[in-house]
Amino acid sequence: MNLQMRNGYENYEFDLHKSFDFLLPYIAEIVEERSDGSFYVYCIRLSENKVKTIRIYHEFAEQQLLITLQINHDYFTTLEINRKINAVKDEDLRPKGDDYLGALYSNAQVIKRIVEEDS
Amino acid sequence: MNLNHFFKLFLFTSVLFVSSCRKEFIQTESPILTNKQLLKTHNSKVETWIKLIPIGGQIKAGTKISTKTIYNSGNFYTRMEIGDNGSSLLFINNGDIFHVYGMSTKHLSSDGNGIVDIFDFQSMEKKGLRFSNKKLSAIQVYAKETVFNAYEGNYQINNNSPNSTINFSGNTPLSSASSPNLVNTLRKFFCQLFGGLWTVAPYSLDSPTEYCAVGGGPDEVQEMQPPDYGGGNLSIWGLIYANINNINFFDFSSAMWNTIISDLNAGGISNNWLITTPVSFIDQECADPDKMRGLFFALNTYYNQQPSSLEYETIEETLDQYKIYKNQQQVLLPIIPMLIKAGANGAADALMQAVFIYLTEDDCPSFGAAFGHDKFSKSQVALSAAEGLLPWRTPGGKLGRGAFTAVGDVIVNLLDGKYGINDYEEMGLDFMLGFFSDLAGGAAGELASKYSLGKIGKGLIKKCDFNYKMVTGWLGGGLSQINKSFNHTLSNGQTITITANKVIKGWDPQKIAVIGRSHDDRVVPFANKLANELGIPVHQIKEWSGWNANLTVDQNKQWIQKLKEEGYTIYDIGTDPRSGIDKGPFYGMEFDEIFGN
Repeated sequence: MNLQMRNGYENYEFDLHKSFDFLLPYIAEIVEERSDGSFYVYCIRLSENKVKTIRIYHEFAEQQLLITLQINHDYFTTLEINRKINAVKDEDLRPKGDDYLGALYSNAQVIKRIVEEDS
Repeated sequence: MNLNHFFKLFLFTSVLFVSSCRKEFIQTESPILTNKQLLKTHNSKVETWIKLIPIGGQIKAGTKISTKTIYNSGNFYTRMEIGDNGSSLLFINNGDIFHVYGMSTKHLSSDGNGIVDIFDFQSMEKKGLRFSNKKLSAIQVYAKETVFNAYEGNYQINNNSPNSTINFSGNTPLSSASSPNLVNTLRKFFCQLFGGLWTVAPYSLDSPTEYCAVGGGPDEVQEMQPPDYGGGNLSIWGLIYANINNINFFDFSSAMWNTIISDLNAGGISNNWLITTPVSFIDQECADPDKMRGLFFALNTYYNQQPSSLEYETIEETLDQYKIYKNQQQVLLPIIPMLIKAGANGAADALMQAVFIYLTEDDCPSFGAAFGHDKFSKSQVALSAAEGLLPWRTPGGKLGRGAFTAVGDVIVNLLDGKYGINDYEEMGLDFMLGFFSDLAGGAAGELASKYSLGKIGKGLIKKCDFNYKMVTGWLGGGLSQINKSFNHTLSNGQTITITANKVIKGWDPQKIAVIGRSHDDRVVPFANKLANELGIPVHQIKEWSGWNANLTVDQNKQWIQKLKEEGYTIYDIGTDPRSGIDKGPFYGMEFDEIFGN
């Protein structure tokens, strides 16, 4: 993407894919991937897993990372799932200022637990 | 206008319009009463004198005039407490002489040391009764001429030294005492004397016992002009209102009161009290239905402002002087005396004109400069001032009434010293606050027929920094609770419901915007769907020319400021239910700016 990224987020796409590379074997389709430089949306469909889709919505300036998993026919945020499985601390799921890497990694841990449960 | 001032003003106006007056004049015979006729005459004169206080002592909440009369050695002494803070009027009558004094204990300490200020309404002399250990030690007499000059307002009395001093044997002579902290201006003395009350008290030297005849009757009372003692037709408008210069009053004990009576009478004091009143009434006939005029004059005396503008004969000539400031941020010519000169109606008109010029004219950089603006109509102010029409008829409809109400607010604040002597911007803001609050959105149509609502709104936001919720309410819109929802399906197949629970309606019906969290997921879809429904564009920040990926909160605030200045209707879709109630720095700012207080 050639859009001007928010300062400090130039490597965001790379960091996102790297944080979620454990999903590569499951990805059946990239449904949506777009950005205007101030946010990033990445939505994938998985194959042969109870987790049907994963949608990552990250608004950089607002420091708002919202990841939604479709499990069968229902939708849950990683925040909701984590409250059931206690994989990480809730606050670790949210970006800390412009430091988004930790939040991506923590969310990945939650998703990994759910996805791999079905493997 | 804060609630306290509103309450004061409410009392003020309520008293004004009391339609009937209750007069109670109860006489209870005393076993020592020696001259019933004298007492009757005395009471009648007291009653007549009290009529000169148009709002009769009921101005302060819960306060009534409390009067006690004693008889001693052929004299009747009536002490009338005005308020509950040590101020009194003192009436003395021996059948031939009826004398009225004003008395204040501001400078008397609770242990009976200090000075009781006495003002003789007949001789116009001020005296200071110096007390030491509750005993009178000296009487200080001030030059009559200085008192007169104070009324003329030509200069402030700076002479703290009494004209003459009568020392009493056995006490410390005044000359060796520490410098007395005397009230050094008559206006301050009046503030002190009538502290706690709004009072307008006309008084004529020509007919000291026919006070209501000042100028010929109630109508003329309204038209009273500043005193002209040179012509022998001295009339006095006394004010006053509490809390000027943080005046505090001491409790004036009965012992001290008795001492004063004793010394004034130069004889013994009788313990046989005769209850003659309470005199507690409002005499509608003598009350000034437009007492603002009196207040304005009283303000003049208080502030001792005699700028060159006041030397001009007409209000139009006076207003001409402001022309040199028409493009100035700082206006050096005092505005308050001009308003005083214009009277209540003229001031209401002048302030209202100034407000709209200031708000709507780009070349008017300050509230003060509006008085000198080319569009300021001096003749209109002069007309309003001269005709003195009822406030709800001049300068026009609801706007005129709003202006008159707002002038009252400003007067309260003037008397509280809020504006100092030249904080006109603050005064303008207060006037606007009172004016537009009085309209309460109900006169948007009338406003729009005379002025551009867009310019007024922009001025109120940009020049005055009033909050958006309030301004939109003034101009016929304002905050509403709603439940407007649209569904939006995301790329993962999830359908989310986006709901606006509140909207703030601006004054431009063609301009609509949306704020909220999760911009791409919620704000943009909501704006698009609302635009489709309404058939007009609905804006969000990413359409703004100033938007960029590195937008800062301050830049975001500029967009919000644009919305406010242009009178947008703004829908708030709130936080994203998927991620909690945290507003975040950007939406949090937007919410505060638009919906905050």
